[in-house]
Amino acid sequence: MEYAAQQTMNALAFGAEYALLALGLAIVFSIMGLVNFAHGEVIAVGGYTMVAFAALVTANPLIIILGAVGACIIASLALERVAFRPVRYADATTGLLTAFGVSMVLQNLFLLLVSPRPIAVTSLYFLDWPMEIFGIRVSSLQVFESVSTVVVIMALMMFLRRTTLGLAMRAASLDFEMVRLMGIKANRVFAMAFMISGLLAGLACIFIMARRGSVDPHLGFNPVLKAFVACVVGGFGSLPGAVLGGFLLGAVEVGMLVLLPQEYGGMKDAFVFGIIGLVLVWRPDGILSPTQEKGDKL
Amino acid sequence: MLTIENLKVFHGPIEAVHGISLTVGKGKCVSLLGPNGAGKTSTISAICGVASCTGTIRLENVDLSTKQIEARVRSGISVSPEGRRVFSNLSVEENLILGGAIRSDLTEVKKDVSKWFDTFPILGERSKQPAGTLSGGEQQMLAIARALMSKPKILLLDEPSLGLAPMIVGQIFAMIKTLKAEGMTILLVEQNAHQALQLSDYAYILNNGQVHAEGTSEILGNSDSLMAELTGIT
Repeated sequence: MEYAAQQTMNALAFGAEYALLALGLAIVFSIMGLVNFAHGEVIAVGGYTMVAFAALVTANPLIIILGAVGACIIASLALERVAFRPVRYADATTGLLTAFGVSMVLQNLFLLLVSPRPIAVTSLYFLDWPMEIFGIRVSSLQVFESVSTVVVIMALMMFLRRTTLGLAMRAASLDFEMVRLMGIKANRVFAMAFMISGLLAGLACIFIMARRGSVDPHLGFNPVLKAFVACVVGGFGSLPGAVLGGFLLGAVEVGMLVLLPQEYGGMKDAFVFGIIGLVLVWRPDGILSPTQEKGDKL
Repeated sequence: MLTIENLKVFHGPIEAVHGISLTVGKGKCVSLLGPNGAGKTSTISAICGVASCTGTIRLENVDLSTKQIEARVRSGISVSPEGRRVFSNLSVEENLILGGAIRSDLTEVKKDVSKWFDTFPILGERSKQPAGTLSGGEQQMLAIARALMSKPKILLLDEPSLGLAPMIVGQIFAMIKTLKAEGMTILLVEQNAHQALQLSDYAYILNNGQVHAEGTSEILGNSDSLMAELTGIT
């Protein structure tokens, strides 16, 4: 029983991390139609900021965390301004290639200017404490991860439902030109999407760093690949879909780890992607894919 | 109020409107009439800043020609576009709130939303319903109400009766008549020439991207040859 509860907590924690990452991709995609593969490098910026803060500023983990999240937001906004704004109205392929280009440039900058080797970050020690909840032993990371993801998702929902800019972002996912015809500035909507994406990348960065304990130039590559899969499973462009896809992927991953015999442990990813493939056979556009406009009835 | 001079509208390399000029006086309702492909919607798109164009577009002597879409809306232009284009994933109420997005008086925006629910009780009843689930007529009411939420100086109505049942068309035109009586300046694009001329003070008839005829509604309405051309009934 305790083992099952611990694994459930594990699945929730992994799922929460994927959900944060997938939301970061989905919020930009829903408005701009851009799969931002440079999202991983935004996470790496957060990781290197942690290193810099720990070495040069303070050992206080709270300040280091705030610094990392802030750096991710600034990096995301800067990418929007410098790289993605000029191709905003170009076709999807141009945007995708730009994202890959930005990702490669940043990875190489990290390699050249910082180091190709992993750099350890030990400041997040408070995320490695053992805790006991209702007699179940869990780590503080799992609790923080699950709780903060739920809080962030609820805050995001409130923002998207209760504020004019949030409504504009939801509307922009359907008809961006009409949003502009409401007098809402396109730049504000795009910048807000990238800002939220950066914030989510920052939060995910904390948990990735707490788990890995080090940063290297390719820190964000695997997590963003997983987030991409989560978005595809949930339905690309759907924010609830991204969250669902993230948690589903976390659950399937942990499920495979638990269920597969030890000798097949190395094939975990193959089984996970096999299951994801079956889900896509059932729902080719993803589980919660946004309804496609069939055009007016005129 | 709105002055357009030598407007040419382009869709890629194709020139859809060939240098038309028109004027809409304050508090007046002016119609743009003509068959399909005449350039009516292209003209509206150019005024809003959606279509690329050359020429001069002035609203109350402010040159809008080089301004972005958002700036034109903030200058006082609002549009209820062809095909309604309500935000189908947002509720009726959220559509209206978004219509008033450029206003800073949030309490007044909420009051105006309630006012529209009083004017159109059916929208009030469905205020929390996604706009995409409304009927065509209800969506048209919503599109016009949403356009008015920004308190525009001029309202551009693009084919408000298109695809609607005759009874609903009557309701929509009654709504436009009320707006006109309240002093709203309106540029109305319509294929339903009879109804449009009944409402308008002045009308321009477009054909092949040029002004084919213009005049007061009485004069144009009494011209049998023009009406036959517009309605296709001889």
